[in-house]
Amino acid sequence: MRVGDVMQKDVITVKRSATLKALIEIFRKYNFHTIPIVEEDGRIVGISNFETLLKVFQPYGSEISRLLRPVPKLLLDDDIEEDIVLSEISSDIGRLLLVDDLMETSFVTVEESDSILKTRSLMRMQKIKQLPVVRGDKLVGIISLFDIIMAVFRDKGVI
Amino acid sequence: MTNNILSIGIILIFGLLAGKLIHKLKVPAITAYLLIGIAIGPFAVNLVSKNILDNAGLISNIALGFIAFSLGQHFSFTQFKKIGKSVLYISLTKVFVIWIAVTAAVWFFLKPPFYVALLLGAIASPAAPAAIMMVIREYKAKGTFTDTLIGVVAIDDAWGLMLFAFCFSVAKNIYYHTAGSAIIASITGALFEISGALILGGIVAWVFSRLSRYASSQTELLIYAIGFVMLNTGLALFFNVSLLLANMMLGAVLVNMHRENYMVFETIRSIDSPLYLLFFVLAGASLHLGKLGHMGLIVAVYTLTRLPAAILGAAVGGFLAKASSRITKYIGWGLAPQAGVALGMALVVKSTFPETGNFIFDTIVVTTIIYELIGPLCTKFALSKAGEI
Repeated sequence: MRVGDVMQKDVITVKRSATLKALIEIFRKYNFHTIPIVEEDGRIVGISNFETLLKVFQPYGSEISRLLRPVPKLLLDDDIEEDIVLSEISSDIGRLLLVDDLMETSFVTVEESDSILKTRSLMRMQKIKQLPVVRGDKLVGIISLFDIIMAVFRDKGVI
Repeated sequence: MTNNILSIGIILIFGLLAGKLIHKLKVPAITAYLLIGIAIGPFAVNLVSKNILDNAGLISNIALGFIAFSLGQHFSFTQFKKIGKSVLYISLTKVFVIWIAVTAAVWFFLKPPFYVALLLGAIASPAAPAAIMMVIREYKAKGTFTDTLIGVVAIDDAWGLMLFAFCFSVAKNIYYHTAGSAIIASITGALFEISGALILGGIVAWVFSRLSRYASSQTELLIYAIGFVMLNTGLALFFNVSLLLANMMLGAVLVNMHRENYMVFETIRSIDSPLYLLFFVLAGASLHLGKLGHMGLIVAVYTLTRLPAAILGAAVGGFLAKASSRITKYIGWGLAPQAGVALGMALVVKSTFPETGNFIFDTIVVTTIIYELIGPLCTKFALSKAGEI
């Protein structure tokens, strides 16, 4: 079984210029865990998931956070992430912050021709439940753990 | 007066508790680890076994190897292009000017062997991310100046470690070649250590990448990652090449090889803190308190040179990058704190140079404590002058 046989071809995506508010609306409406960020020509440039929303509570921008990532935690006194319940953020942030500021640019993808076995192994390794499917660098679908489980059930005649 | 395993248990528990306690007094945790190290070391209650203290150099080599591996991520081609010109120039010139100034001042005023001055200059070059971040967070500083400061602090350790690796190789070769052909032998020896390290790191990264595909869970990936960093460190020691550069190269090649490799760094990041805590506490425990009385001159020369050099170096970088006058004038003040990797470097030096290592190590511990006290005040001054607190 290949990724191309199982993946979902209709994918909800956003542009990097979308606002935080628009992104939250998409998360709320579609209840997806991962949303790919694509350019006009369909190239995938990042992903956004619930965890990336936590960046809103960081006291500095995403470029700075990226720069700090290689510095060992103990050299930073560990907690570069704010406590979201205690942090002070302004209500303007919903329209001022863009997806471009929040998206994750280090992410894993699979190709249509990849096996389900490899995809499942990648999901387990990365502790994620959804992976963008690409052809070259263009997004062509998304595959979730649920899609894989359903495919296996179908294959075994359970459903 | 205790066994090795008990010492490690005491160090981890006391270190963490002291860190949390002193953190409430607005002192960076690393200073707390140093102080608890002094308290449980042989000059106070003596809870650390001699065997562990004798092997502090080994633990530092391993800890610095992991730090170098992690900092190798900075050299990802895609991320490197995104580093602003100001951050790049300021971090480079600041590290370089501190190195030159401290080396020259120590050599001029104290006339030690040249390699001692060279090592002190290199160890003086990086800043202390924890102390600086603490001030930024405490005063909720925000703005371009703060962003540039954080950027410089993030990358500064990488330059500092790289510079130290070069100087360490040169120093070792000067130290072991005292005969007539000293200079040529030292230079060729150092070049071998550096180029050998880069080749070793590259080869180990290639093998890692080939084998890591067989890791089918995060646990297995973690075991692979720790194993390969240790293998690389061990091979570097075996071939007598720079373990810091070898591990930095391993990290740099991995981060550029496959996008998925970022997971390797993430898994290691989740477990490396106890190792670093151990080596900070050991740094405190290794301090020769009895000799501090004779260190007035070196501490004065080092302390009084490092801060002006940081201010000048950062200003040169700011000027070259055409940064705003606020950044050019004050960012050097913001970079005053010293700790973290400097202590690790000093421990490695202590274990490598039997005659002069203690002198260098004690100087760095004392000046680190001084800079951890005055450094945050300088950072606050910089942020306030820049109008961001």
